[in-house]
Amino acid sequence: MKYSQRPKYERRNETIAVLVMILLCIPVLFIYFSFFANAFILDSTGELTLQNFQFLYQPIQLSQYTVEPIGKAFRNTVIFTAIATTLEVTISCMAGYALARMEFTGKRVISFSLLTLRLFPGVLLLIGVLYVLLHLGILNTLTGVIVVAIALRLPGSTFIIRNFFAGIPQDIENSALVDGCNRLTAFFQVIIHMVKPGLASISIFAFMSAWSNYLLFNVLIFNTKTPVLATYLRVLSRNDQMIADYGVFAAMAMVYMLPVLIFFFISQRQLMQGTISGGKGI
Amino acid sequence: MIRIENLRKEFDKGVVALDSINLTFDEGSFIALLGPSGCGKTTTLNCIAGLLEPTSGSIYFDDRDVTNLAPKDRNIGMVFQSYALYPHMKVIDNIAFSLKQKGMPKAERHEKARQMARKLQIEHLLDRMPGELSGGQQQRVSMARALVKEPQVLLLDEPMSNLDARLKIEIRDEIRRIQQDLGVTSIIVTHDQEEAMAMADKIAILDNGRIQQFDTPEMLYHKPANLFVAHFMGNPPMNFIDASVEEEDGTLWLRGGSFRVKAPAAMAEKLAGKAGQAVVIGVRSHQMNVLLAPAEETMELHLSLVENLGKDIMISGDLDDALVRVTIPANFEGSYEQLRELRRQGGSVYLKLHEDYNIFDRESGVNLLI
Amino acid sequence: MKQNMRQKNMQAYLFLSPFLVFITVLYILPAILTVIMAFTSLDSAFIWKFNGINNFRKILMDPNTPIIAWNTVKYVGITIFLTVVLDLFFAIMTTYFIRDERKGNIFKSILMIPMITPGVVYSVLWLWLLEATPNGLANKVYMALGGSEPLNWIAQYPFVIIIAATLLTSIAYGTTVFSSAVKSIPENQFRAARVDGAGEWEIVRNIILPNLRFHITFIALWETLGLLTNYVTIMLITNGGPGVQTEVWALSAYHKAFSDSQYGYGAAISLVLIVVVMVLMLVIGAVMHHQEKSRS
Repeated sequence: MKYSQRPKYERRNETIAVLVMILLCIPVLFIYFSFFANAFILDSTGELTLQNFQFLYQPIQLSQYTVEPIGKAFRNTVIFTAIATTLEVTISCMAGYALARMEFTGKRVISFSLLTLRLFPGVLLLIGVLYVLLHLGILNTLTGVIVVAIALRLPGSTFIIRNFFAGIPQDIENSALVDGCNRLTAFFQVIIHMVKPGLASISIFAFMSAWSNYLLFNVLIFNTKTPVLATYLRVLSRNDQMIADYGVFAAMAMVYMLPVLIFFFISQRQLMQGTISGGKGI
Repeated sequence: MIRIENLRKEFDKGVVALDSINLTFDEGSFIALLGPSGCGKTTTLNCIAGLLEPTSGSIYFDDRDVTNLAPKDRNIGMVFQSYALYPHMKVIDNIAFSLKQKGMPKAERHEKARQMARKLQIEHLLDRMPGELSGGQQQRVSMARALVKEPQVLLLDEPMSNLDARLKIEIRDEIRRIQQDLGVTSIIVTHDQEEAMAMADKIAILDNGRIQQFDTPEMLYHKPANLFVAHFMGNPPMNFIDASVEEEDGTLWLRGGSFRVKAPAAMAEKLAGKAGQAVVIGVRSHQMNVLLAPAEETMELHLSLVENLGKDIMISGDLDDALVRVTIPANFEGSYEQLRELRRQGGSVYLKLHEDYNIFDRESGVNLLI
Repeated sequence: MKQNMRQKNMQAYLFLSPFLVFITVLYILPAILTVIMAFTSLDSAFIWKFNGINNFRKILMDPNTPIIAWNTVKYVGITIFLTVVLDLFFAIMTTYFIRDERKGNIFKSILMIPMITPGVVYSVLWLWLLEATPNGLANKVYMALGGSEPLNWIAQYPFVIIIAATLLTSIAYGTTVFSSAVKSIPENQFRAARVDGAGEWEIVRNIILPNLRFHITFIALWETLGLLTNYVTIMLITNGGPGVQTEVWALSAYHKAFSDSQYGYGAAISLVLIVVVMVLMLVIGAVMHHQEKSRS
């Protein structure tokens, strides 16, 4: 129904609700804007400046500490995010398809475990994970963190994508089989195209969570040789003397958050859809 | 020729979906699998398509045993109830999809798709996406897609159940026309007996995973093998009146609660020696004459409803314990108004059976006349 | 027939194998290890030495344990309650009252911003906001409203702050779920209620809330699981302090294991939480099972 055609009391209620929501959202937006505004202000004088962004290309000096340029951390984060997202999506897709569409011995056991694992918070097992990585010789490496990041999110992603696969009408797959496909060609030529919204959802979740991940780097990497953006910023924020200058931190935070924000605004719809279909935020 | 031998299908937990299905039919014929939902007709079709694996039994296309072949190796075309068009492909690519799987170059397969589209009068839709088509258009596209590879067998799974009544008739004539033009052996699954009668050369009626009768539409209508088939075929449904066989001085009679009629000579020999047996008279609504006054060997019908159907008048009422419907031509001796008046007064009419009704054994349901 | 089943299994397990490898190596194996470790005195030297139930005895003897347990209950309980209330409020506002989907979605996106903000940035945002000097934004507002001296917010109200910070990141999820549930209520139910003379409050109470009953239960339980086990926000803002004022159970396991390298002891603390989580999962399972039954 068009707005103008709706009953008057509905329009009045909507106007009130919009005003209330605006009032509630303003503080949040205001805090964010004020914080990020620091990035463009020189702390000592209050002038507008781009100086705070020098960390992009050269080492900077904060009180008596030297901060390396962001390049390496940025590169590591991109590598980490790209690999973790790709593998997570691929693996959960394969497993989700098998669980939704194939008949095999042990299907019920695996489906049940998937449900259980989706609910089980994997972070509780990090102590055990640490020991496993130690034995595999990948503790303290980017590989180790990638592997764990994937594993922790795998049950959730698999669960979501399995539901998308299960939603495809059986007739479509049968039709492809009759038309000359086998299981594999049907998957790539037909099925995968029909779960695109699901793929988008899990990819977005995977990307966002990988990009923002701090905990795993904190727990599984003990040195500063493999910085990522999260740990790079964290080092700064932990040091009272360094953080005294919020301008530099805000500038870094902006660089860090920009991809997330861009991604967020182009993918909001899938994000909400994914949330509804059973994804747990980031 | 297609031959199905002793087909049996069990699902998990030992549910038997199909049991000893035997069917043989000729090249180019149009076969319908008809039955209520859950009777096993779609399971049979899926076994023929190779989408389900039979528990035992074999399926032959000509002399080729296809029982264990994958669907793609059987050279079949299939139209699904939901049409199952690939939503991410244009109509032309949908139609050409199976040719692509065979490795046919793009130009060639598009040309073939175009030819098939022309036959189905959907050439103007080729560049659209399936989501932009109406139900009837999607139906035609899925027909074209099934036929473009020139399949040995065309399988149709309730292809018209999602269409409205008018379109249904249009499409069903269209399918029949194309099937005859191309001469492709076709099997349709449906729960609509009218559709099956209109389209198929022969119909297999299934119930509880077994074939009840496999015959031409005429035979199913006039000589149903058992009560199930008789119940299922024809609209309005056949009337069933309980009776028992009686013999008196060498003449066979059928006696009901309130009537006694002589069995026609043609029936008498089939019923000989069955005196005392409980039977059911199965009579179609047009196989009776209506009289306004009692006469020899008539049955009294207490009127409960009189309807004017335009061409016919349909009267319904109670005969013994049975609800009986009779259709009579609108120009019969009395008038519609007269019958309405009679009903209002709670009156009766008297039915005189023609000689072409059926008699079933009440216990086994088997037609005693065949 | 048998051969066919074997082929099907091969095919399926081909698709499943990477998943199964990951799950086995990084879920099942660590789970077993955690249970075993809980009965050892494993530390950074990684020498396996079983010490029976010593770790659990140590937990019981630790004077901080009751404080941490109570903190956890308070933190989870208050946050859950407020989360569900706010989720409902925002969902009803942005979906039922604001019928224009575009407008509603704008507000929902704004509510998502804290959720998508990376933890390291989000925590600093709070530290900056609550800076103890007169330059801090919160203090500026406080003094503009008549406060005489700048407050050291984090030192004075650490518990309120971690709840507020967590709350802001957790409302987006429930709001989205509740919104879609509200949207799926047939419009005619609202119309019928209005014809029967119901006002907006009656509609919310008698139509929307009953329709969302299952969703509310589910979100409450699901968020409880999350709050019990996710300690990153607290870790980054107060790190459990001052003292142990904001230390919760999961965070204390982290501290023992990863800050103090007492892996055995940390595993024991985790194990206690794992048991609690398992019980909760059983409850969730029962609720979902019940729901499926009543739906069919």
